[in-house]
Amino acid sequence: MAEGNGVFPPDNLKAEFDGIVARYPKKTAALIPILMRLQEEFQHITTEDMDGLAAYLDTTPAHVLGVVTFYTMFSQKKRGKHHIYLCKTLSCHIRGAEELLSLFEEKLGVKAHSGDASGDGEFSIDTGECLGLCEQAPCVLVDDQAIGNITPEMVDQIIEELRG
Amino acid sequence: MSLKPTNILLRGMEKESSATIENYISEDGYKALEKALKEMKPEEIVAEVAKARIRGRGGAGFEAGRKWGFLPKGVDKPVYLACNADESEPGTFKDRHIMEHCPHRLLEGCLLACYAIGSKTGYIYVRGEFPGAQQSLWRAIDEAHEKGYMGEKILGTDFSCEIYVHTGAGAYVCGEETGMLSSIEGGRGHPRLKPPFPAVEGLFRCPTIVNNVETLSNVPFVIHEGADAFLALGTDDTPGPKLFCVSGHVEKPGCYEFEAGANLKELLEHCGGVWKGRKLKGIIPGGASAHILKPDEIDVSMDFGSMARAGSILGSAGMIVLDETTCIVELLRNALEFFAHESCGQCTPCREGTGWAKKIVTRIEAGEGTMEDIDKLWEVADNFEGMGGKTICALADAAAWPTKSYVEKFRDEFEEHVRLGRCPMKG
Repeated sequence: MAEGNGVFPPDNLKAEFDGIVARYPKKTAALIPILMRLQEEFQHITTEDMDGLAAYLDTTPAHVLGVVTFYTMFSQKKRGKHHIYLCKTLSCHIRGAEELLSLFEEKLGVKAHSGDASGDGEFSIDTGECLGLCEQAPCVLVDDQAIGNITPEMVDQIIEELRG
Repeated sequence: MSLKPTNILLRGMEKESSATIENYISEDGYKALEKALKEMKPEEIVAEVAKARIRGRGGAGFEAGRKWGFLPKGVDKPVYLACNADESEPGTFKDRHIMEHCPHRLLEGCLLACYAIGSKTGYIYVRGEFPGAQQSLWRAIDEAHEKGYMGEKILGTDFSCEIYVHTGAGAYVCGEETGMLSSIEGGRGHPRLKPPFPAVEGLFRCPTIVNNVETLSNVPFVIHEGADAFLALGTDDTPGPKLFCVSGHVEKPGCYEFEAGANLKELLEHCGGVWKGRKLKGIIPGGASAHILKPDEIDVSMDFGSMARAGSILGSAGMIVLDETTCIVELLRNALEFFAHESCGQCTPCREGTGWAKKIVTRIEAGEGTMEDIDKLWEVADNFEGMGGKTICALADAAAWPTKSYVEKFRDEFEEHVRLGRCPMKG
C-alpha cells in the first residue's frame, strides 16, 4: 500500500473512490479514474495497490496490471513530484521539441523514459505523444499545468518555478 | 468557398468568464434544452438533428441523426451516451478549446442527445492529457446541477440525466469509438470488431451512441435555431460551422471557426501565411493521418467530400503547415514513431507493419537506406492499409495514408537521402 498500512482504499481517498464507483453500473469501470488518482497522489502504482484495487473492484490483479501497462500515464516506478510530459509529435517536433528535450534532461539530470526521478525526487520527464496544444508548440504538460510556446531560454525559469 | 466566419461553437470564448454558466445563459444558453424538454418529443429532436445532417466532427463524417436512428426499438436495457473527447490526433486541439472555454455548450448538447435517445447517463471520455478540460467540465457539471439543468427532474419535467467526465490515461487508440468503450469499462483500450455497432451493443453491452465533442456542441444551435439555420451554413456536402486547428510553420497558429467548406489556401493566408516569410512545402490538412497536400493542391474547400476528391481527408481538421526547410523523411519517421507506439497490438498487420515501416524510414533518414527500401516502405504501408478488412480499426489506415502519400509526392527527397547517404536538408 502506498502508505504501507495494508488497507485499500487508503482512508483519505475512500470517500472519493466510492464516489467514482457510484458513477457506473459496473465497478470495473472505475479502474482507470482511480488509477489516475493513485498515480497523482503517490507518483507510481505499486503491486500492493494493484492487488488492493483488484479486490476493491471485484476484478483480478492480472486485469489491473494489464491496464496499468497499457496506458502511458501510469508508472510502476516512482516518478518525480513533478512529472513533465514533453510533446514530441509533429507540430512540436518541427518547432524545436528535440532541442528542448536535451535541455530539460541536462538541467534536471534525468533521462526521458528511464523511469527515474531526479536525485532530489522533484522531477521526472517523458516525451509524450501529441498533447493537443499544437497552437502553442512546442509545449509541455507538468502535473495539471500546460505550458506552451516554450523557447530554450525559458527552460531554467520553468524548472525554478516548479521547484517553488 | 471563401472564408465565412461563424460565431457558434466558440461563441463568447474571448471573454474571461466564457466557461461560466452565467455567461452561457446570457448568450441564450440552455434555451434549446428548455425548448426541447417543454415543447418537443424525443423523436422530434432526432428528426431535427437528422434534417440538419450534422456530419461527425471527429473525422469520420457520419451523420449524427442517422446514427441516433440506429438505436434498436423496444430494448429493455439502459441506453448510454458516450461523448468522445479523446482528442489525440496529432495537430488537433479544437475539442479542447470547446471544453475549456465553452463547456456548457457541450453539456447542453449531451443533455439534448440523452433526451433524444432516451438515455439517463452520459460519459464524456476526456483524454488524461487534458486536465484543464476535465476541470472545466466538472465545474460546469456542478453549475448545471445547481441551476437545475442536470440531475433529477430537469426543469421540472420528468427527464432526469447525469453526465460524468471519464478520464483516459494516455492512449491514442482510445479515440477509436470501440477502443474508447473498452477503456470506459476499465479495460485496455482495445477496439472491438463491428458489428455489433455501439448503437446496438456498446457500453456495458447496452445500446450506446458515440459522438464527438464538436458534433454534440452543434446540437443546441440546431434545436434552438432550427435545422434550416444550420443547413444555411457550410456546404451541401458538410453543412454547419466548423472548427479548424492551424499549427506548424505558420505565423498565427490557433483554433478558427468558419463555415464548413472554408478554402484551405485562404485559411492559410488568414493565419498570416507561412512563418518567417518562407515558402510552403506542404500541408497536412486533417491531422497526422491525412495524406499530405503540396502547395499546388491547397486551393480546396475544407469539407468532407471536397477533401476526399483532393486525395486527402478533412479528418479532424488539424492542419499542420510545413515550410520549405522541413525534411519529409524526418517528418514521416516522426509520424511512424507515433503510430507504431500507439498501435494497440491486437492485429498483426498493424502491430508488425507500423513498426516495420518505422524501421525502414529511420534507416533512410540516417542515410543507411537503399532505393529498394523506398519501394518496400510504400509496399509495407500498402499492405497494412486495412480498408480491405485486415484490421479491427482504422489505426493502420491512419499510418498508411501519410506513409504512401509522402513517398509518392516527395519521392525525390527519399532518393536524395539514399544517394547522399545523409539528410540533404541538414547539410
